[in-house]
Amino acid sequence: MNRETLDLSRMTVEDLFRAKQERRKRLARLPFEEKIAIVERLQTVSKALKGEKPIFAEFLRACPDFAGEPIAEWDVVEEWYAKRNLTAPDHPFDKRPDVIARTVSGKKIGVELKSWVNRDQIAEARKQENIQDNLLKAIGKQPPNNTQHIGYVWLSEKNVRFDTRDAADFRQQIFALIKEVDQNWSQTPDHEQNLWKDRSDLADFPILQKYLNRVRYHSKTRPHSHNWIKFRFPSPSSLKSHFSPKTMRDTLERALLEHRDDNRYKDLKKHVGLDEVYLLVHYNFKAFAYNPPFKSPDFGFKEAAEFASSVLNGDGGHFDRIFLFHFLIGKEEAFNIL
Amino acid sequence: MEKVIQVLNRMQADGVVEKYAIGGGIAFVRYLEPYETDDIDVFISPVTVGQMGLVSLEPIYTYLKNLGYEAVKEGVVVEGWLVQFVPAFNSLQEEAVEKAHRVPFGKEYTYLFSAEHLAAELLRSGRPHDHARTVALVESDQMEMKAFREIINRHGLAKIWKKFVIRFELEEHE
Repeated sequence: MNRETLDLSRMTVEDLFRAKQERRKRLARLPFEEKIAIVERLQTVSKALKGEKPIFAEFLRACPDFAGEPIAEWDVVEEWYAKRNLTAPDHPFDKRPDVIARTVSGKKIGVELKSWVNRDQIAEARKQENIQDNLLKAIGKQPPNNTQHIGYVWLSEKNVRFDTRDAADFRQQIFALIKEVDQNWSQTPDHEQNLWKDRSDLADFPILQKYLNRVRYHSKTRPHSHNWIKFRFPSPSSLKSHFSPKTMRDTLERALLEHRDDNRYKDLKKHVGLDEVYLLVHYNFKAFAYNPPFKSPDFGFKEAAEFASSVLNGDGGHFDRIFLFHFLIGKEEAFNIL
Repeated sequence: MEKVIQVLNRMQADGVVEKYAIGGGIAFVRYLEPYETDDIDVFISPVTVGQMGLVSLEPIYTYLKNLGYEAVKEGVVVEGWLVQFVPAFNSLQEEAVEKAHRVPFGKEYTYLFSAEHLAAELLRSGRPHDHARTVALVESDQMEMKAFREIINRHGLAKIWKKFVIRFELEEHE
């Protein structure tokens, strides 16, 4: 379809439907091998971009008029070219922006998706998870708690990569230490009043000392028969308690300013043939799971959007519009922040 | 997909299957526009019957395993494609395999259901997306409607087709 020869103001839904039909017929006429090549490209695209498609689909549901008018068609960038059998622009513009859409009036819009996450925190959280998993694996299946005084045990791990060759010694030493603490429980002063005891001197247990900061023993107030040896702060929630909501606001501010001025988007319109380029910053499950909450009693998503808008101060840089999208199932919310 | 075809042809040459033909989504793509799919439905005929009198895919799975292709719940993954082997269990499917088109693909040849057999099989199968594909095929210029009608009459689908034409408001009222 050549837009220059069309009067877009007279375009109807039937015209769009007809255009789609034409496209399908054109694709159907391709040689079989060429069609299979398209199927294979679609498979690759689909695997690579599974994350972006649902985000934009939900955003569109939450904010159908984000472009100021309804959207007639859209796709993630590779699918945009593959499905229509169009030649993509030269690299790197063949992969930018993440989503391409066309409005009912024919305006071609590009949308770049950016996640509001602190990647350093995610990497750190995953690393801790890995360490904890390995230590729990070394302990293996936990036997019934036959101690006399200990209800459950909290481990506090060091930030040290676990060497699987230490697994047997780790298991042997943790149970030896528990036995020792249990036997000496009544010798500690005020033992009846104490709800727990900490043990950070692990010099007699070198493998435990290598991997643990301390071990906390909770008194046996009620039975804990299963998995009674655990981590005090299971990742990633441990990290959540170590950062304030301000950390996430700083992350948002940095993401907005860095992206706004990122020169990769400078000539995007020209190279891809777009009329407008938007930025969609989304808060998704990854951020929810691995990052501290951005919310506080007097600061919700609406306030986050106002904050983001004040950060931009009317300057979207290379973007014509910027949106903030809360992408958690059942809590989707979108704000135009520029 | 060429590598998958190579494997199928080798399997046939080695006598593991006598005849095969690709139906389903990949056959559909031959006649209409491409869409995303990662499985290949391979219909085989005649069917091998095991010791208990049940249809057996065992020789195929063993053969492919020896070539390094692992079976999964729904089929066998061959060169990144999920290949599902479907024993032809009715006269329509048997005929679809028997009369499949020999189609060049790269340096190989493969066998694909004709548009008419594909539409008839989709009509028989009757799942919602199969119906949508039947409509698309019938409305395309890829079908020989006379041959299609003969197929559905021959395999007892005439009544279903009559209802289908009315339900989907096809122009083919008889």
